[in-house]
Amino acid sequence: MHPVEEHYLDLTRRRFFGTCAQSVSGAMGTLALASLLRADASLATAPSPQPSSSPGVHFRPRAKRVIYMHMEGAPSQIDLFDYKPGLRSRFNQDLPDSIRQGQRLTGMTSGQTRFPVAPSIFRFSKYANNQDGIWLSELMPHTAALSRELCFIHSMHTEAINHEPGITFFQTGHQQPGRPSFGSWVSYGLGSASANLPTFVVLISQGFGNMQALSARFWGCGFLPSEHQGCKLRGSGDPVLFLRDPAGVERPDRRRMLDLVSALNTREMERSLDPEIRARIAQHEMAYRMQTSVPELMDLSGEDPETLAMYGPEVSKPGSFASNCLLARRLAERGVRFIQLYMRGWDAHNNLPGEIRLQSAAVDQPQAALVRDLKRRGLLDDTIVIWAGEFGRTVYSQGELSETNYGRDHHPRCFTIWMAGGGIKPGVSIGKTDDYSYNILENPVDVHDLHATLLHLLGMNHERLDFRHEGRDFRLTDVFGKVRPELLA
Amino acid sequence: MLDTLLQVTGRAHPMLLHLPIGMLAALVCLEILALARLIELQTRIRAVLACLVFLSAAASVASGLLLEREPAYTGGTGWTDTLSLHKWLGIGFGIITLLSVMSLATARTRKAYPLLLMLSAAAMFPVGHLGATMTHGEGFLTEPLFPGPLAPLRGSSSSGDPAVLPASSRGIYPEQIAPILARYCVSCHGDSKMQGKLALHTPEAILAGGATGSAIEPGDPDNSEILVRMLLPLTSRDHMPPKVRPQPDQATIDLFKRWIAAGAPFEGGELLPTGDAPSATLEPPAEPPPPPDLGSSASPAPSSDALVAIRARHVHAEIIDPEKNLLWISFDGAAAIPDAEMAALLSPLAPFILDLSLAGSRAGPSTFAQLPMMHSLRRLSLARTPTTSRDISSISTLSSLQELILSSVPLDDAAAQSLATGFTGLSRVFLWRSGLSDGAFTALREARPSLMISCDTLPADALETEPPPKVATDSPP
Repeated sequence: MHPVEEHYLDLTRRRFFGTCAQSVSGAMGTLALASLLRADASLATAPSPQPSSSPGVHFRPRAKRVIYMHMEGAPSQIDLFDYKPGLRSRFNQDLPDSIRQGQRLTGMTSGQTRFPVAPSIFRFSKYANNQDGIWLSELMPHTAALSRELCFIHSMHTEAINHEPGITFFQTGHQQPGRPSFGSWVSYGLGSASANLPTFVVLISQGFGNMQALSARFWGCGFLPSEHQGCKLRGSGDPVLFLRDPAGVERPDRRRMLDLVSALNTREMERSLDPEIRARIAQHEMAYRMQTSVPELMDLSGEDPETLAMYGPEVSKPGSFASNCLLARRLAERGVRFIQLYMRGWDAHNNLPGEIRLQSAAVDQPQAALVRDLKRRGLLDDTIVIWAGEFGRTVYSQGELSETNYGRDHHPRCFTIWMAGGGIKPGVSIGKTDDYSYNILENPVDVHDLHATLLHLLGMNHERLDFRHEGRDFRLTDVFGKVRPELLA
Repeated sequence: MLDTLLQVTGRAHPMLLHLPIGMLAALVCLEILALARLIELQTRIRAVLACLVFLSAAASVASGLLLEREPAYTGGTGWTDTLSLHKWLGIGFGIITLLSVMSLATARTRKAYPLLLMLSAAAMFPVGHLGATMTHGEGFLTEPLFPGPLAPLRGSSSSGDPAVLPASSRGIYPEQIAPILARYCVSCHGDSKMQGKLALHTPEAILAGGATGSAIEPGDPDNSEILVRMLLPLTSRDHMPPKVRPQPDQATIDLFKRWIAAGAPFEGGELLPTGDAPSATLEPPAEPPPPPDLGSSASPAPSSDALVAIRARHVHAEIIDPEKNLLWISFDGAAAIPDAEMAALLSPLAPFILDLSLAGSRAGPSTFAQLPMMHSLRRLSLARTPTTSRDISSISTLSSLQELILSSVPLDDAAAQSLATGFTGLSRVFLWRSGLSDGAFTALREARPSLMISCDTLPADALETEPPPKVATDSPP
């Protein structure tokens, strides 16, 4: 919303509270709070039929929510999705300079004297899709078996070569920290579709391979109002800290405490017109509702055994990827707009075969179950599922190469992601890489294009979803991004 | 019988409540006169009056408590806080009047009487005001004192009689157009504040235009920026006036358009006929204009009152087709709402609903009776509801419906019959765990070969697998 309009709304509110305060005595702040709780309703009576806080869709959307599975550490496209049978015969040969083209190296391999080609040791099988089939590795049989539903993009590329800027770029559209996360933009653009749960929820699973740090700013809201930041549900213990009322505090006590705090906050907001105070009052109320909605969300007793079994044996272990996939479906059913799953541990610089086996085994069955479960419940049509790392991995081995073991370094020039549902073209592969899975030959898709396309599916023009900050209109896609029609159903 | 009597007593609350007010006012007046030694107030009269104050207060409180039991006061969510504050303050008022009567009993307690009387008089005001707030609406009393945050200038002709205006103030512009601009535009586009470098308070300023060029093209309404922006949909960011500000009604816009079409004369000109009395253009519309009156300039929109009502119950209602103002409504976070209330909430919005999720809700006969009215409905989810085959049959006339989700709905084979013959626009149906027999599935597939039936995506086997890699076997140890 334009800051001037926002300011008018605050003035209107101020007058509203002012008249309330005069109607009774100043000491009766509870009435002011009662009005505050109705504030949204009173604003909605303005001619605008849309909630005041979000600009709303620009056109009819194909999808209403996003489940974004981020594979932290960057999974190897060569061992999972990008089938390069020709590499078998080039085992341990040097990567030709004509392929590398002077590509910069990370600090991990810049000291290496040679770059020996490491073909994948995993067997690939061909699965039917809506084109002429797709070759996928034995690491993810459950996922491969849903190939008619999935859209593989083999030609993703990014600008970053290290994890922090890489994830930051994927999540915020910018390599440097400080911009709002994708989920926050969606929350800001569309508003909440759930009265009892946050709009943007983050779930994290620990991996088995080499893990890099995950910063909370990956789901931060940057300069957007604070209510748009992602809410992380913890994998062990209480999903939200201090969710339970302390001993001796009853629910009405909590209500009274919140009423008083909100009345004080409201007074300060009237004085300073600081929108962050409004965000804080909203957050307090959300936390109060989450005291009942989160235990209900986490209670899996209503899930039937067949569904639980489909997600695999780890489903009952809190914090596991399987458990988080099931929660993602439950969150989607409850109207949460943006559900972000992080799976850590894909950063296989050394011992890739061993690590990727464990990583794939942890995600394969649950992620396939999630897609299948969404589909049969009629939710996949309006839910976008994305599975992506922050970049790919190199064809050459980092460290020692043997027939059974190798490592791979970071590779931003091409990698594979997959998507499903929500207006995405099902059962296709987009883009082509060269014989070494090193350069893109056809249809490069960059991160801004991906963001623009996803916003398009959510009913927003990425060039119009903006927010003025420090005198400039900011966008998720900055000054870039094209909607890619080849990805759309 | 007793219930009816109690109900009538409760409804007498608005009448009864005035008795203690009058009695207390009389008592306070007498006390003041006595204090000024203008009359002599006998203790017996004082006691009688104080008793009457208490008795009438008790009657008001009792009738108020009875009135509170009426559904109109229990069902709402918004005002319960005002109501309970009114109730408890009212009870407190009653107790204070009782205490003031009791204080008259002995000489020692009589000292507290003046204080108690003052207290009861003071308590009466908030109680009465809160009650009035519920009856007349928020801010009824203070509204005239606080006209809007940035009250626009009133037009010159709002008070003046055209006949006595000086010659320079006669004509279309000063009498009809300038007041519109003053009412809707000048607070941001005026002398003191020129947003977009545009000012509209004088003819010169209007002709000068703003940052995006000319404001009006005399004789050409279609290319006049002001008019174009007024006619943009409210959701457009370029719409003027900003959607948070008062909006001109259709008659006002028409008047403005005719003025531009007439060459936008700033002097003279016959007054243009308006649909309503001339002063109508000066008053803000009491409510947003009803959708059908917008004519061709905008699509009809769902009533904002109905949207406020449904959102107040935590049902998600969002415009997902801004062009046609169509809605996505989802009961995902409001599964506990009873069937009859669901129907009442949906009924005023029915023609605007594009996508409706009743998944997990308590939708029953009343809600199903609303569904055939939803002519724009494209997608309907009934997942996890106790929908019956008869319900399905009752909505099979929905020809706009393209997607129907019946996952985890315990149906019998009669539902397959409705699916085969009704729902002419249906392209996809979700029947996972719907309880249909294999025979019903086969019959449905035969009857509607183009209908996509989704049950469960079973994993597919690989078409072929590459031979095991040779490198591993050839390798040196």
